[in-house]
Order: sequence, then structure tokens, then C-alpha cells
Amino acid sequence: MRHGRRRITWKGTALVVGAVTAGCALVTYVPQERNVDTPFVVEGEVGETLDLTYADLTVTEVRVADTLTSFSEAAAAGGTFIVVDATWRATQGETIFSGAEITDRQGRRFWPSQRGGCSISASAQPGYAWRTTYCFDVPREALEGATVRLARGDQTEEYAGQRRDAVAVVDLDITASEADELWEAEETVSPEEPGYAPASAGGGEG
Amino acid sequence: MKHARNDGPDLAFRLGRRVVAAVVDDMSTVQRVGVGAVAALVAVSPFGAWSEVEAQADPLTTGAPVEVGPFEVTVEKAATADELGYLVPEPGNHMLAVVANVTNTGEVPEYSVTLGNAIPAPENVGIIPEVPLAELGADPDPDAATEPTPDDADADAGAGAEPSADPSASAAPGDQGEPEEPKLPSASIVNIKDGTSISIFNPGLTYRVALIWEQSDKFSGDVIPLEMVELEWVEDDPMGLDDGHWFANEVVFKGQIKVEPAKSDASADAEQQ
Repeated sequence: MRHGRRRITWKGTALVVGAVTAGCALVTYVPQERNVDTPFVVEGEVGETLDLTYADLTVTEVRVADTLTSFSEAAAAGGTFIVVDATWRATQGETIFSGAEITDRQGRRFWPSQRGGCSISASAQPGYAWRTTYCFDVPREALEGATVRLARGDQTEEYAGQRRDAVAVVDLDITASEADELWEAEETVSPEEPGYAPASAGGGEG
Repeated sequence: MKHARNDGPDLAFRLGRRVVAAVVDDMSTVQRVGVGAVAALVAVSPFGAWSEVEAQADPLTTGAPVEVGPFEVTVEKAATADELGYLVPEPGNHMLAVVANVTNTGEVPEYSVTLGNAIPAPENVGIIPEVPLAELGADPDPDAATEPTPDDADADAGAGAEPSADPSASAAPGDQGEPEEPKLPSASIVNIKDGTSISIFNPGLTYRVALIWEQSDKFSGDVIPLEMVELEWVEDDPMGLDDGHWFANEVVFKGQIKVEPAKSDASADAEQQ
């Protein structure tokens, strides 16, 4: 049995051409890459607990130091160390927190150092607060207005590990006058070993 | 037989001349000049006419800052020492350090490995080569007191001697009889201010660092040849998955750096004070 050919109508043609044009326009003009890649930034201040869905984060204290001392070594800063104490509380499962970076007002990025007993990442079981200390060697002009960005995904390869994931950006609240004072101060800090945080720092059983 | 042997080239020449004559006869003078120019260009192609001209390395001297990739490097000096902090040489060797001030002039942190790629180990001065992975775990040769140096390796090759390590332990199938040239190691990079190993160079900071290699005591020269390699940023790497990295290209700075001899402990302490 032979079927007749389906007729191509103007209406059908217009529909197909219109759909293709609309698709092309969407792909061309909607900034898809940015929508796909952008992390969910949760902003906060020192002392504030931030909900990142996979963890609660509190930056508990910010200090500066010329020298870091630990059991095994003493590390001298090329500029000055910004020492950031933070407490992570994983809320979903055992989590490795790999992202830690300071950004200055010029947009320059600074990564943490392992020297002097500091951490560059943390790993925590759910239900407990885990304390860790990050140390960033920065130049003088990076102090004022610096922010710290902490997340479970790391910041290498243009934040590839943080795509469509929550990250915390905490203002370190360093003013211009404070920056001068902090730079001149000669401080030595002995970072605490990473460990369970005391209840006052949001520790204890969750 | 004599004529027969000469027939080949002669015939080819005559045939070629006929082909050329047949083609060129119908051409104007301008066309002939054009075809001649194209033929000349084609003729010089096999001889490297289109190869990139090898860049001449600029002189490298102490005290003069140079730019390599994201770093500004000022070589201060080279020195030898019996040991440097946690770096202790094997018996019969010592440590060679190139002291330099290094600044990351970019806006993002850079790994010290990148600096190590820009400043390779000086060649032919007895730097102890890396132990090939295949030899790790192989039985050490009791006759070999120390690892062979590049100089030793050259001497061995010249004398036709067997390499000191068991070839069966190191040579891959098919490579037997042609021992791989030993690879010189990357430098250990130490922050001189505190003696700690430095792994990250944050932007805007200058570190006085020592690039350290283990060197054979057999080297007795008072200068070393030091090279710096151009670092080229690769945004998209079509050959691999590693987008966005520094690629060590060709040597752009080269110089002879004077080596200060090892100081005794007493004089080193006096200098520190």
C-alpha cells in the first residue's frame, strides 16, 4: 500500500524556521557559560556563621604575623601573613574543604601557605565543628579591603572546583589606617593544630 | 657499461630541460620571472629556509633583573655548601645553590615548580641526575659509590664502558645498549630568610630564594653556566587537558655565574652576625 507524500506547507516551514531561529538566538545571546559556572556566593563578616548548604562556616578571628612558629619550623613572611582562623561544620557528610583564597582590592589573588604549621585545606566529619587556620603571605597594599573566599571546591583552574557550588566570601574588615598599623606590627603567631573546635567557637555535637 | 652508467642522470636532465622548455616557451617574461621565483622558493624549502630563526639568548649577569614568564628574577650569586638545611648530599657530593631574588609580577599565585622550570639545572658541571623510576627499588650496584654524573657518563661512553647500573633494571625493552641520558633534576627551592621550602609565590612579594642542586665533588670549576627559559602561557591546550599553564619554551638568558666556595661553619656564623 502506497502512502501519499505529506505536503510541505508554508505554515509548517515558518514554524521550523522560527524554532531554529529562536534556538540560535537563545544560544547566542543568553550568557550560558556564566550561568552554568557561577558559584553561589554567600557573603559575611568575621564572627558570622554562614550557611553553605554543605557546611556551616565561621571565620572566628583574623590576625597578622611576621613570623609563624610551629613544632617543626619557623616561617618568615615575604610581606606579612594574614592568619585566618575558621571553623567548618559539615552538614551532609564527610567533606574536604579545599578552597581558600584572599583577594585584594586590585583583584589580585593570594593562596595559603603550609609553612609554619598552617593549613591549606580541612576535612571534617558531619555533626562536629572542625577548627583550622589558614595563613596567607601578602604584600602591604593587599591588606586594606581584603576578603577571604572559603569553599569545599578549590580555586585552581579559574575556580573550576567551585562551579555552581556555594562559596563563602568574608570581608576581613581591614581599613586603610588599620592596614598601616598591622603592617608595622611585629607579631609572631603559633597556629593551633587543626582539631575539634570548642563549644564557644560553634563546636560540640551538632 | 661506462656509458650505460651515465645514461640515467643524462636522460633525466634532458627530459627535464624539455619539460621546462615546453612550459616556458609560451610564457611572457613576467610569467617566467614569477615561475622562477616560485621555483627558487620551493628549492630552498628543504634547507630550512622557513624554519624559525633560533633566538639568540640575552646575557645573564648577577644583579641584573630579568623577566621570565610571571617572575622577575635577579640572580645574586652561586655558592656551594656541604649541606643546606634539610638538604644533605651523599658522600662525595656537595650542594650547589643559586641565590636569586624572585618576584611574582602577575595577579595570581604561581607554583615554585614553574620557577624551577624556568631555571633548569646547569649542564656539564657535575649535577647529580635524577634516579630513573625504573631504578628505584632495583638492587644497588655495590661497585658504584655514587650516582654517575653527566661528566662521568660522558667519560664512560667515550671509553666504551658499561654503565654502572644493571642495564636490565633500567632499560626498557628495545632500548638495551642505548642507555637513556640521565635527566638533571629540578631545583629544590628554599626561602633563605627562614630555610623553609617554598611552594607558592603570591603576587607582589619578593623572596630571596636558593635554587639548590646536588653536585659532585669532582667538579672543580669556579663558574657555572646558568640558563633561563622563556615561559609561555598556554590558554587552551589542544593536545591535552591541561589548559591554562606555563610552557617552558626556549632559552632566553644565558650567562656564566661565579661560584663562591663553601665556607667553614665559623665564617658562616660570623657573616650571619
